[in-house]
Amino acid sequence: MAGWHLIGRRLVQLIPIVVGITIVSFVLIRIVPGDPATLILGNHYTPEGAAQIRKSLGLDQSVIVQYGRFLRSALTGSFGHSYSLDASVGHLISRGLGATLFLIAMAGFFTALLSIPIGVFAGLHRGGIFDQSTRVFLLIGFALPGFLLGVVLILVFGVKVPILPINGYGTGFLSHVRHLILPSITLAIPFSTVLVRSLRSSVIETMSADYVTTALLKGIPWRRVVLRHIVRNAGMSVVVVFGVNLAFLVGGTVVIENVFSIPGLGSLLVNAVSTRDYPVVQGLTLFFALFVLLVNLLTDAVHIAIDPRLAAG
Amino acid sequence: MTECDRNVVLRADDVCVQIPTPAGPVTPVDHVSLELRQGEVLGIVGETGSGKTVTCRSLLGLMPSPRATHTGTVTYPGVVDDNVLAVGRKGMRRHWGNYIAMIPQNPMTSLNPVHRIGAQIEEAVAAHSTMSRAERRSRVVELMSRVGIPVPEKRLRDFPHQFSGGMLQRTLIAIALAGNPQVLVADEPTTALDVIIQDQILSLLIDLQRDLGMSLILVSHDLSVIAQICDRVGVMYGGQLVELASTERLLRRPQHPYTAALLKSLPGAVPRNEPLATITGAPPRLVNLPPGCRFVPRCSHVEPACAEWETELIPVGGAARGSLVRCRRHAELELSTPADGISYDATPAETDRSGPIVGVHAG
Repeated sequence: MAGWHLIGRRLVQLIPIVVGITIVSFVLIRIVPGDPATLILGNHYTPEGAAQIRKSLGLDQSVIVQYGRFLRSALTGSFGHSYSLDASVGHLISRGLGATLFLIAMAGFFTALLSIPIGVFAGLHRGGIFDQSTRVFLLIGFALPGFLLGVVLILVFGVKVPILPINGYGTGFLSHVRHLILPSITLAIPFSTVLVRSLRSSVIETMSADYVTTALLKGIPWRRVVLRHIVRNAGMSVVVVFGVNLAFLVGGTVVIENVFSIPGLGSLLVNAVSTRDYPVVQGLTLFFALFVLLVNLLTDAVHIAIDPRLAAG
Repeated sequence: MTECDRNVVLRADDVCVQIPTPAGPVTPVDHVSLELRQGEVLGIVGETGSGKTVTCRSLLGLMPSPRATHTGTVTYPGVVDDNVLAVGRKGMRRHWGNYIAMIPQNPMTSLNPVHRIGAQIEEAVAAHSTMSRAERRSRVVELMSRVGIPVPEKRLRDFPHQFSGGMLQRTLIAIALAGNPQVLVADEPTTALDVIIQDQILSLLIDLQRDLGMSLILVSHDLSVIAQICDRVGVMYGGQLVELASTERLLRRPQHPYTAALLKSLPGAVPRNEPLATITGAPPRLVNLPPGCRFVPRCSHVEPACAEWETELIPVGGAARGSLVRCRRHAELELSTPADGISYDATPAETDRSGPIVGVHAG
């Protein structure tokens, strides 16, 4: 089917994008002021010691050689060895990935839970009391910075009414879920505002579609018209919005993981940047970029799967 | 119920629909009254923007916008004696598809692109029946072959984008027929289709109407279509019904200056080497209309009093004849008709359908 050829073509187009990202991530961290050797030595700094460390890390070699080494390590999946932590970057990523993915999945779940009913209901009853009051909350939710919301939630549910853990990740599935409730809600609220808006306007648009009138005049129950003809069709365009914004969510986790001290990729990245741990920063940047590309690709695939017109080409 | 009511299947009485807009209220339906009788084909003609579509939809209880307001009543005597306009979605559900159905104007956008053709017809079949899955399937196939979709067993698995415009309109006719309705409202069912397909769809509609004994309201801006197949015709102008009469009477002895002007502007009305007659000016915008007759600015028989006249539908030729006209001068005017310009055939369905009788859009 033609639609799936499109996915194949997308995959090929990814190659130059990924190469571009490796260059950007390699260059950016080196532009940032600060020398890893100096930071590693700290109070024990001597010029000889620093030179020694630079040599052992391979930082004395030409930029081209260093980039080549980075590429080779990326291809093997190890992404090189961390300067400050005694592990390969690949290993560090696999250790933090679980928490981050768990966080993203829960945030996505809460977002869907919040925005689908609100968006659909507000759209169906456009201009009603619910729709009007939703608009105020949307504005607040959208304008509120994530870290502030996180701090407020910590104060309310962690300090005043201490019913939920406010830091760490816990051990075991249920403990993970409990630990990630507050951080994922912190991520989900601003994300939902985007989704509620697009779902609401999509529902309103779909309601005036001719095929909805056709369905209504068949004499089928209104609930069926809403589910099979309005929500089903309005959902198609919202899937794309969801996918694109899920990618932004990855960026959000970096901040939120630090607010809630979750040992995920975000915390790893922040620490690596402050210690100028070049291999970790490069590896993570590349990894995040690949993740975003993968989510976009999945979004396209879902879109093709639910819209028969795309599958046919 | 009076004797004369017995075979009336739909009655609209003084229906007005108004939509509030920032520029002032728009009135697409302005005091429209009409009756549809059992087994009759009633045509409605009018220019684009004369309120035909909104009128049609109000006959099914649909409003053009959630903010639209309405006055007057629509009833289906003996079936829905309450005002259809006020019954609401919930109360109308068991009559939609079952008693009254609509064939839309644009087949390309009237089927849901994500569901298969068969499933969409089946939904209409299931709406008013308790058939088993297998029975519903065979009913879908039966409906599809009845409306002339070839190889229905195969094509019911297609999606709407795999169908041509004509095939989509056939599908929509099948959906409308699924619940064996007594009244069919066809809102410009052929406007979006090309000429050859137009004729096929119209023949199909008329065949079905005769076979199933349905009453049909056929909206069109094409007088030739109306002349071919309708028993009676209503002419709309500026949201109002300006004339309602039997097709023959309307074509031979129009009572309203607009109807007469419309007939004169048809291509057959003048010899080939003369320019076509036109109606000067433009149809009124339906916002903040002044009182008086809507046709005043374009009428060639206008008098100062026409602009003050509170318009009403006046019965002509005796109430039993059922002709109505909205012109205060209708009795004194001797409106001329194009001599033999319009060939009206008393038995339209039997005539040769190779081409339209008069091939141009009115207005």
